[in-house]
Amino acid sequence: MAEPSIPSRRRLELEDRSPRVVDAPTPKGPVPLSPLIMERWAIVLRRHRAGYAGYEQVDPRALELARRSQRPDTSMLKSLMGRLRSLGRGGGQGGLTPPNPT
Amino acid sequence: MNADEARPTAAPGPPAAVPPPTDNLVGLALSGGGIRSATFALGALQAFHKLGLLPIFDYVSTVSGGGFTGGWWSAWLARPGRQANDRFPDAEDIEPTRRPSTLVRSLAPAMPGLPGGAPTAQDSIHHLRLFANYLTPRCGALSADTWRAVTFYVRSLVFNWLALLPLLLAVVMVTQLYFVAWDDDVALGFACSTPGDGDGSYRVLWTLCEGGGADHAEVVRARLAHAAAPLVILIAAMAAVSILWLLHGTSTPWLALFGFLVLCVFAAYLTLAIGGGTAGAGSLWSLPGLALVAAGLVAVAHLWKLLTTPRVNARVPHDAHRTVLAQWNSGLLMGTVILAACLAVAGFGHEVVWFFFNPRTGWAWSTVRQAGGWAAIVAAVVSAAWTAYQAAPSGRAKDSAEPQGPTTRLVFLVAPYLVLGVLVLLLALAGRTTIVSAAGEPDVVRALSYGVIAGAVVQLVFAVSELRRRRSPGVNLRAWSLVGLAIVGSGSQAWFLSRLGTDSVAFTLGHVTVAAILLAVAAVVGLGWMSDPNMLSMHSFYKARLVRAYLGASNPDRRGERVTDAVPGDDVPLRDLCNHDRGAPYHLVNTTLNLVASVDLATAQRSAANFVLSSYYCGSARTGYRLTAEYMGGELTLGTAVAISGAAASPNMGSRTPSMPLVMLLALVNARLGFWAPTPFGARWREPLAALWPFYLLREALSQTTDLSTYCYLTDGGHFDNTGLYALVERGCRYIVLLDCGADPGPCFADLGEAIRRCRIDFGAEISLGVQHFLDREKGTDLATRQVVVGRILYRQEHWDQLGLASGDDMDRTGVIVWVKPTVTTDDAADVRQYKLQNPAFPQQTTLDQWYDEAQFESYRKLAYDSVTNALRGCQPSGQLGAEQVQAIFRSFETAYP
Repeated sequence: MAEPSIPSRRRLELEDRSPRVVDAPTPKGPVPLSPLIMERWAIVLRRHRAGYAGYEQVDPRALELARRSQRPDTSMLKSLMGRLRSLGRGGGQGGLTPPNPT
Repeated sequence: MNADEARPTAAPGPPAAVPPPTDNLVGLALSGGGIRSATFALGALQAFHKLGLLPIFDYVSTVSGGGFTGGWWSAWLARPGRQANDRFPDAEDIEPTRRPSTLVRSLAPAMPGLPGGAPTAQDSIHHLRLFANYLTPRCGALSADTWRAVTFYVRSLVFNWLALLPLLLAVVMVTQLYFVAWDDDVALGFACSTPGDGDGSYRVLWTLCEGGGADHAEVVRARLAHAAAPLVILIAAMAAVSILWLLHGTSTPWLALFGFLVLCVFAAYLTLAIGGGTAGAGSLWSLPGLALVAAGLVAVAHLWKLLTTPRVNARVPHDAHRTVLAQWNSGLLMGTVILAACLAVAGFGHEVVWFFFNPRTGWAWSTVRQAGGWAAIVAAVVSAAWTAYQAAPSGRAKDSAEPQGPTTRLVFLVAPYLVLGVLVLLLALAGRTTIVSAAGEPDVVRALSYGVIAGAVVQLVFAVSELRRRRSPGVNLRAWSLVGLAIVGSGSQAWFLSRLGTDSVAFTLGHVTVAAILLAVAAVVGLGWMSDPNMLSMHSFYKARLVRAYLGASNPDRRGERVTDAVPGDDVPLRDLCNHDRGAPYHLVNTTLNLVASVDLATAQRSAANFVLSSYYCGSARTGYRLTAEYMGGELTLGTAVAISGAAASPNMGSRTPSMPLVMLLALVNARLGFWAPTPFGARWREPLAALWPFYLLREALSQTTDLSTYCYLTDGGHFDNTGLYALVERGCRYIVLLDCGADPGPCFADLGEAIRRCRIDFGAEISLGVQHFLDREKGTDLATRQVVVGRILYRQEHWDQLGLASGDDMDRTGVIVWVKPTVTTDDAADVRQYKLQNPAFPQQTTLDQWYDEAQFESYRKLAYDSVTNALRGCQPSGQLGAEQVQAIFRSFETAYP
């Protein structure tokens, strides 16, 4: 196992070598997804599409996750605007808590 | 989505809710092995498709070359307009220009199928065949495509050297500054002991040098004494710490303090005895004075540590002190060795070059020396080129099973030391020449100073930008050190300028040295600020070639079969992959998180961890995970993921990272396919671009890769597991089909062995496979008896429980693993047998060969197609697919291959 890092001893670094802790506030709303749960929903949808017995009716939550994972806004202009905004507010921070692997 | 899809009648619940059980998971592993494994995987997938077995797979786990084909398939699935039952491209069509219909047409003026004709995307399998030589499809001296590759390499190499060489020069000159700063005959000797006295620029310095009466030998001796001074101080400090370490064994803290006082007396005696003859003993800056200062600093630090250490039963624990003192000693020893090397290079490097190229001896001996010097330089250049060729793009070092020839072994052993040695000697000469030539030219001195002041502005702008962007806890040392450097640098140059022409030559020498160092740093900061570290490695070239060959195969906007670079629409955002929405397996692109510089024991052996890139999320157990739609601003593409997964040649290669000199040489020759990605738990996980790329280049060259920094270094998945098996076992796949195509001419099953070991160590999974089947040979031939081996996998209860999978007894946790390996048997097709007769190494040809021709491509594809078709012919699913069906299919595999 990794040795526990001591934050107070890791203040001065050329790189931000902060310990592996949550760097963003816990988001409000749905509980963060874990990779395993997301994969399971993907497989539920996959088996439905593949015609698996027992998966004839797909759970709407599997479809919802598939939709959420794809971001329609991919235009270069909007990407550029997003970068400028990000620069203006001092960089993109926050976001989801890194989910637990399991 | 289908229109007749069951839509939610109410707002959908949070998807985080536990999904229905998905037991009996089936995984397909496409191993690494470059174009060989990619082509073999293509044939195997075609066979699975024909047998109707593709829908049984829940996961496809790809590594390196397997990822080429896996990415090709996922990109094909992600294209708009696919029908509900489209899971794999149809069988390859006959090439348009070779269709029989062309024979029966009238003699038309325009031939069909010429460039600009049918869209490539209509037959994506045929596209792969045309791009069998995916790196340079059109070879030859007059091929524009080949020249583009050469241009890219040279351009990247030059940019890297523009950063590396000034940095190395700055390091050398910092040490040279030490000699110059003595401001005595040694400084003048350092500056003017050149035999090139005919050069007018040295005239003034020579006059002064001669006036001081210092000849070359005396100057060298004095320089040796100056070089020894700091080393003696460090050695004295080491002795002091060692004595303290001994005293702490049995004494109380106060006895240790007494011992320390004894030590101070000893240190004073030692330093006076050592330094007495070299410099005046009365000054603080003399050698004894400095040694006493060093001993005093050790004493103060020791006292401070003694007073601040927590007491246990009112006593200082001795072990704690001993550990600290041992750490001090290690640091001092390392510092002494590094300083000695730097002083040797900076103070005497130019002398070595002169020995070879500027001798003052007879003609014959002079010629021999020059020949030796040129031989060393030529050997360094050739061996560097050979190293680059051997390392890129296949990274043969990754294939531990593939033997390296004696030439390669010798080059890998000698080249790093030879190249780095020649380089530092030349840098020492360059540094000294810069100091000497510039110091005699007031105009150059002024220009250098103005350059430094301009560079300080660049540093300030960069630092302000860094401080605005970054909000992570702690002090941003990189930004603030640049601010300090800019202020001190510009201020010192203004001061130098104001006094220029009024001081001694030694003053000007120091000025020039400082200015050159600052200018080098400013140039590196300015240059490094403007680009992405991944842009100037070979990653972007490799990615472009892979994208046009594999992902471009299904690009509907791609017209004709011209050899082009990647075109818009070839690549696909990773978040847009929708394999599972098409009934195809969820794609796991395996890469390696390099942890060569990590400090925790867990990484001591492997120096790496598995890092998965997929459509829903990206990350590793060590770094946490992020949603792909948000990670790197959602800009991560499938092409990038595939290129990272196949980044075999990199200075850092997980547990296969070579020796430090070879790492530095690989960085120097730009054999770098790895990728700097934001660490998922880091402060900049949304930002795809890392600023100040020379910093990351240096980290690669010095093997400073870890998961605790803002950006982490990802390379070929094969640097951790070259089979793709690990990710499937981690997810609890009960049934696994493994296409194992890593180079294994032995065979010795190195990739599989490593994967099995790691699955057992990490997950407690026991995998049993009969390797003897692949060792057996047909009597009187070198042909194999089997192409498929079936074994079992038993999962550990604890692992199974953590995955939330239902389990009653061992049988519920026992699965089947089907191991397919490229081997030629007597049953194979005639053209495959013929290719084998002509190329005895087939189907285990070296991974170094990434330039396949038509025969090679077709032989591997056909071999895989026939292997899988013949082996699994009787195991097709019948009726509706389901858990029982899957079990029956794998049970029939076991029956067919007991």
